[in-house]
Amino acid sequence: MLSIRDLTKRFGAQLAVDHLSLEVPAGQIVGLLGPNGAGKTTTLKMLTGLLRPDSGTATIAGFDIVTQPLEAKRVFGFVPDSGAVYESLSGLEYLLMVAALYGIDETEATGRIGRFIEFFELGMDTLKNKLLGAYSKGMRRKVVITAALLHNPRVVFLDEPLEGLDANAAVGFKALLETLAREGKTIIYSSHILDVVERVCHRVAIINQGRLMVDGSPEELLRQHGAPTLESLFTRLTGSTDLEQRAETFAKTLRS
Amino acid sequence: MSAESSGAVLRGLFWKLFFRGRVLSQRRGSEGTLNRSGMTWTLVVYAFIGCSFCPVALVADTFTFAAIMHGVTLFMVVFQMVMTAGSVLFNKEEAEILLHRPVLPRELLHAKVFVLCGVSAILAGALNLPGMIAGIWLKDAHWWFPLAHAFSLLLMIVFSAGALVVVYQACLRWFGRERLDGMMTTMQTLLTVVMVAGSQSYRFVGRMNLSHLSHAWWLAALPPVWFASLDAILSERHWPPLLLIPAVAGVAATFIVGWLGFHRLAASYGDGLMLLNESGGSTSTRQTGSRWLRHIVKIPPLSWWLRNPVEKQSFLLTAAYLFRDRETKLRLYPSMSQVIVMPLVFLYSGAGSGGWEIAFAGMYLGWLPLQVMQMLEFSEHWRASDLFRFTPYGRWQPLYHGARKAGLALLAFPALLVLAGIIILFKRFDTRLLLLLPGVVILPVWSLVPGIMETWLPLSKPFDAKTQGQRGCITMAIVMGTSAGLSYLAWYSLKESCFPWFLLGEAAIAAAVFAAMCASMSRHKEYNLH
Repeated sequence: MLSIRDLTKRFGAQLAVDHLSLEVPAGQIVGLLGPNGAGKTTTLKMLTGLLRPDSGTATIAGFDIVTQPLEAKRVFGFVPDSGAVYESLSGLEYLLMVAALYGIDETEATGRIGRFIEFFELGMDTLKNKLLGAYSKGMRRKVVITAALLHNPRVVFLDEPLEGLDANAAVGFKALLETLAREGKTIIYSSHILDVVERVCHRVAIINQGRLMVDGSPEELLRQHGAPTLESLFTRLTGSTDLEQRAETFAKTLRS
Repeated sequence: MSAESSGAVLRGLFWKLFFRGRVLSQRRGSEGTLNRSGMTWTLVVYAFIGCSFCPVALVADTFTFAAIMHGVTLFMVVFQMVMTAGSVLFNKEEAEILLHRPVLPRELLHAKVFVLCGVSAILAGALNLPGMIAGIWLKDAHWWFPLAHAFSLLLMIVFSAGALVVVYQACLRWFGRERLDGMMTTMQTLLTVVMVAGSQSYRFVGRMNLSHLSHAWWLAALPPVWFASLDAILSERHWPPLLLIPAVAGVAATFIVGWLGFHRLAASYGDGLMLLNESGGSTSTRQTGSRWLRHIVKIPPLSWWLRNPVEKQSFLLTAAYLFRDRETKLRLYPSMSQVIVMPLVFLYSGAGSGGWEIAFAGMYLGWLPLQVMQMLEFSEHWRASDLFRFTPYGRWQPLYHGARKAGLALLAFPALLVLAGIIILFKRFDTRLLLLLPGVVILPVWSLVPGIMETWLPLSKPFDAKTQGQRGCITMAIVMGTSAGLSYLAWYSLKESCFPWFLLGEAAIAAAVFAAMCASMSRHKEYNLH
């Protein structure tokens, strides 16, 4: 369903993504893990047509994102980490606008939006009458997630999707992801919250400095590398050692 | 979904966004309600200004009258379009909302240009409506002058939008990511200079009737002359055949830039949006800039002027945005260039006068610090200003003074030096040039005006073209009104040989007003909360 081959991106002298390759079949949830600046967001931006790769290819449901952008964009949904929306539209206006861009007529879109707001426990009155600029961060995130799933995409890219969601909404959202995967949708879940990735994802890909370090199911990776937890494997692979010692030293400098 | 319907959705979206403003988080207290009266008020102000050139219809010929209307439109409406185009066409946050949807970059560009042209046409309509009605009474025009003028006005708006898009697309095509921001600012500033200078062409036209076009061929290179010629050809009873040249030039230029901007180069628009998403890149130049800034604030006289550490940090913050932030530069420098070009136009068009226009040119400079301070209140990163609200400092005035001093030291004074250099280079010095001094003396007073109007924090508001347009009109009226009075006094005192006394008196009054304004500002203790 998603095929990435030798995807590379440079920003001047800095190599942000270095020959990344990954094959993801339908119905799988893949966790994209990495420290800050590892290249997760750059990878997602290339996969969603926000950035042009310097080399390599990416196909989504058989459509190349560079040579067939419109066809590819019709089959995926994307939740960017910025959570950007047009703040001067009401939630409903925003979702209807997004639906129209995917060719969903207003009656059909309103029905689908109704089902999402029921799931996310958003009131229709709020959605109709309140402008997005006045929404809380969590409410806005729910609208962005709805906008990404409204056209029933075959592939979903999520960049830190739980940011701003309260605990109940987060639990509900994780359950939704599992249901979507069972229905055959491919989900790429980028995050640095390890325990969520460990619980939700069928497969984990850890990238560091733009390169793919390991790729496999959480159990498989722990077994292969002899690590007790995903957290310890992550810190080992990404070079963050002696964290406790460093925290102690830092706290001392604050006390002095 | 067909491309056509996507285009319609996008046009509807951008139309809504323009009238509502893009960001509303600051209005959370009012549950995000909309202020719908803003545009009406702007249209009323524009129509009121438009009334001022109605009497000319009774004395001028069709061509001169149309040139004046096109000139003023270019100055007021198209200038607004130039100012907002950068942030409308290249909005970084918007890429994350729309670029991953099944929309062609060409459709995005067309929808944005459609709305830019539509809004400009509404504003131009309000500005020109009184003149179009007055035009019915033109001596040498048919009754359909208003229709002819509406057509040429529309053509001028399309030409301006096309020229803007061509400039941006050319920058994207020829310059890489590292140089793109700088080039866009430079090109937009140059375009503003051309538009502002072009908008004043009626001053020359009024002086040398276009029947003398054969002696002043260069007039045919100015856009208001092109479109005014079209007005004359379409509605004048007997028009000189020579007018065909600028009229054809105008129509041809509109078609060429339209074809280039909206068709030939439109495909590269998506590349430009993608470039905006590239957050990395070379940082060596920026680090050098940062070092230079940190160095100069340690050297007198700046170190003496910035003794308060909060003022100093506010100065550095403002300076960083003045030199590094694409969005700030795209709005600020074109608007500044307008303030520099206008005094030059006054100086040159007032060459043969007794000096009143030279005095007024100096006073026009007062708009410079005011414009800078108004612009520095806006930023894409306005949410970051919450920092000032939750840190336990409690006073906004040092932040204001730091930003004000950055505006004066890094922009206003260098701009004055450039202006003085141009004057000395191209104009023989005579005593009438001393009439520029009263404008310089009053600069610090004008720089305090935004701080008197409200509590002011640097880079703390999202840019709203409508509000800015209204403020621009209001502050322009205040500055121009006061300046006109002072200019007259300065000119009169020079005529009566008591100019040094006038200057001394003005300096004393300016110092007193400055002190009073500072005292008034210090009484406003509260921050503006969202």
